[in-house]
Amino acid sequence: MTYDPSRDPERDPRLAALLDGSAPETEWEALRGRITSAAELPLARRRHARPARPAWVRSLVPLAAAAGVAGAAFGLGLNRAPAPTLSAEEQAMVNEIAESALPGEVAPLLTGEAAQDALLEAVAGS
Amino acid sequence: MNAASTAVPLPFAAGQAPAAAPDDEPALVERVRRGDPAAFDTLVNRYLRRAFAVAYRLLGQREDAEDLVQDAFMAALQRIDTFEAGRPFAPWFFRILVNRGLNARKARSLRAVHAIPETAASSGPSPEREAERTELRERLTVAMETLPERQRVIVELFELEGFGGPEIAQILEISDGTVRWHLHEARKTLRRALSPYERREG
Repeated sequence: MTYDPSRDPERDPRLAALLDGSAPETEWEALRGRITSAAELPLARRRHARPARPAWVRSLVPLAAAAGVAGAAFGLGLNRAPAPTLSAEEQAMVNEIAESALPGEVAPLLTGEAAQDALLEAVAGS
Repeated sequence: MNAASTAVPLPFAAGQAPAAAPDDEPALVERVRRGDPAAFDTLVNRYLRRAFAVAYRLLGQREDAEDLVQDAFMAALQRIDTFEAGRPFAPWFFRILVNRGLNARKARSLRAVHAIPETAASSGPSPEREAERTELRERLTVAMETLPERQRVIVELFELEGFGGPEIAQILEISDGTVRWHLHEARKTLRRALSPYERREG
């Protein structure tokens, strides 16, 4: 028995005859029916699924989703409502209160937006 | 197996190569991808008996073999989109079947039960000769059990189920050369088991 790695050996009929424990009888039609029944639902899903796209198109889907999310985030940022601004009257009222009630070096710190809102509320409540 | 059981004939005799892949298979596979039950049934019908024979060799029990065959066809259906069009269907499908069979065997801590063939009733050989032949089969069966799993599967697929070396290579995802090497090594082991009887005959 010479080993030749370049080609398949000849089959050994003696080995086959001695080893051959043939499969027992089974109910072929019943087995076939079981398999095709089990396959009904997966096959139906395939019939109703959207047509398959080529692989290169499928790879674009996550990229498109990421681009969409980034675009939405950017758009939300652009469309952000500006901070509410005071009317001229309201601003004058805030400035008067800040200048009259607080020391000169503190008043400038309180003339920011949040401070204006807080002062307006304080004025409205008094 | 009792004496009354009748072996199911394979579509080809043991040791013979199976027929080449039919030309309609690429179209059949494409129809299965689209959910065509008739196409799926055609593939099942085409490979059912051979699949059962391989499954039985792997698991040794009829019911287990039936479950494995069903499991393999369902797995093939689930993965049909990954099947490369234009390639032969059989090696791809039998790879699924063999892998699942080996996993099932490991999970159940089974070793393949090789059914010992019943001695054919004949008027030729003497009872002593028949007894020796039975003993020879049993020794060979035990020798098969000692083979590494991969070698055993290769011997079963090549010698008993008629798969070619390249087909087995595709099924097991190894090279043709590796298949031939394993066959060579397995035969050395099996022939050693036969050698006491060959010396007697010689």
